[in-house]
Amino acid sequence: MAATLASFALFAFLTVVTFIIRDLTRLWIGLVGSSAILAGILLLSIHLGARG
Amino acid sequence: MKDGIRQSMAWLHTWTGLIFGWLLYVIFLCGTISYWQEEITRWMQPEVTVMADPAMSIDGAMRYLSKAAPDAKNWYITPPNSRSAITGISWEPSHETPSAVTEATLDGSGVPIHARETRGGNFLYRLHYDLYAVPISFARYLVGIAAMLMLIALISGIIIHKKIFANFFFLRFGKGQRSWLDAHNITSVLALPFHLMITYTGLVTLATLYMPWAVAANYASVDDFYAAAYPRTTTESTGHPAPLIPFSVIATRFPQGKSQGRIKYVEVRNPGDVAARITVTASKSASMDAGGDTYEFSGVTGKAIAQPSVKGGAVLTESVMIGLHTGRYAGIVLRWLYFLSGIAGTAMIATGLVLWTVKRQKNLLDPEKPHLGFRIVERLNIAVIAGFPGAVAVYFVANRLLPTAMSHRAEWEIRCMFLTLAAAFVFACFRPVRRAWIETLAISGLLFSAVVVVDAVTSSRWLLPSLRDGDWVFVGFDAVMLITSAAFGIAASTAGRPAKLKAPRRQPGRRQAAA
Repeated sequence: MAATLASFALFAFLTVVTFIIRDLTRLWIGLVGSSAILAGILLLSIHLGARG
Repeated sequence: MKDGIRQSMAWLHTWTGLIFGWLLYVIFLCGTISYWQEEITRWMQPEVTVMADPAMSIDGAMRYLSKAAPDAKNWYITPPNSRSAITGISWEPSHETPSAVTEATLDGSGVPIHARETRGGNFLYRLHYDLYAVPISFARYLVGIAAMLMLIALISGIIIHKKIFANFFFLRFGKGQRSWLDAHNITSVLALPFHLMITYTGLVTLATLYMPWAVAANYASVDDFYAAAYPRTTTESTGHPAPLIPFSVIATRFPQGKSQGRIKYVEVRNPGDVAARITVTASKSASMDAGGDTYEFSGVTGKAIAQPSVKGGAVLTESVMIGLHTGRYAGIVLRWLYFLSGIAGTAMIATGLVLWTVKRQKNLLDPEKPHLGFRIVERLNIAVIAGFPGAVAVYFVANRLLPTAMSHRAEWEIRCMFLTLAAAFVFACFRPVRRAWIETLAISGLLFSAVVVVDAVTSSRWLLPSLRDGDWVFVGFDAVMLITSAAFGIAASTAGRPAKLKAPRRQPGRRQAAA
């Protein structure tokens, strides 16, 4: 629940950052890279039984 | 992407504000009105006059339900409170005895109220997140996207605002674009913490719908999440009948101090069965926790079965955020402050939308024949900003004028409102822009006056008798209608005046630099 509550602030922050960064390539690398890392951590946590 | 942080943010602010601006205006206006939804419902049902005691009303409701829906699986009772005079009930029929009617409105003694059919203030409340005539799930996603863009527009607006404190004291009239920018700045900064709070907490009210992935990552199913976050006991019907205990007995069994709290909601599971359970949701006065505390009692013996569970930090935070958004904890002064801040937010959106056209008007190649996008924005601004409030006034006028015995009466009140909005759009499309602004604002102002006049002609609880009897809900409602009417009249008159445009003053610093 805490993550869900915080996610809106994170989403707004990411949107603002997206429009601030000038280099489009770096932006894509940052977004895709961080998404891949977070998705990997999520998959690992689900495999380790985080969903109960 | 634009160069410079401020330019990027200005671009983001402009377009996130514009795309859903009209929808946000309606959401903000209806949400603001909803701070008085109980009072609006009371005004829209003038036949209901007597305030009732909550515990006695619940007893009355249980007596009514034991006759009207004895075989139902569950009963749901919303008792009256300091703001509402009625008891709302609904029930979940059993599979063996399905029923077409599953809800009713009762008075304090459990007798159905034969008041005019209306959805009252609750319709405007639901409109601000469920919209109208569209599937609810679609509407909620749309409102969620609009709220997210609003949050981004607020943050980007703060970043682009160079002199956030100094500009707060500037409101220069009759200077075209400068005046609109001043008005936008003031209405934004005046209640900025409120705007941020209301937008963020609005998203939180439907958080698991908009951001379901945290739940998906941690729970096998959504039901598992709800069971963990909001635990409750489950009881199956035994088939052995037993009479229900009167609620007045249960009302005396709240822990010390909780009896001061307001009973918000009562649920009776397996009514008339040995396994009957009465669940009471109550909140302390002035508590921001929207969820409240839930107590469970045996429906036969009245023995306490479950005390409120201790809420986790995140669940409590969510509950307080929802409480902050809905403002149900607020007393009369704070409620007015909520209302006025909401009006400031609505004005912020309106001035932002107008600013979009004012800013671009001077750059048009042919101001007599602007491009299609400009014309759409211009006409939508007139229809929504000036016309929608008038449509709300028509909703109230229709409440007094439609025959009380009319079938689908409540639905027709709503249709009258949207037909007025449609008429405002058609009107805006076919009139010259300036005339359309003046006339739509003036018509809306007249419609708000008409609410008071029609009320006086059709109801015995109009302004003067209400003043004499100290019926402050009705006095307050009519007074707000008259003030709103005057505000629209002033706006129409101001729109009718030619703008005083002066040549910009030269700044000495710039002249020196040029030299």
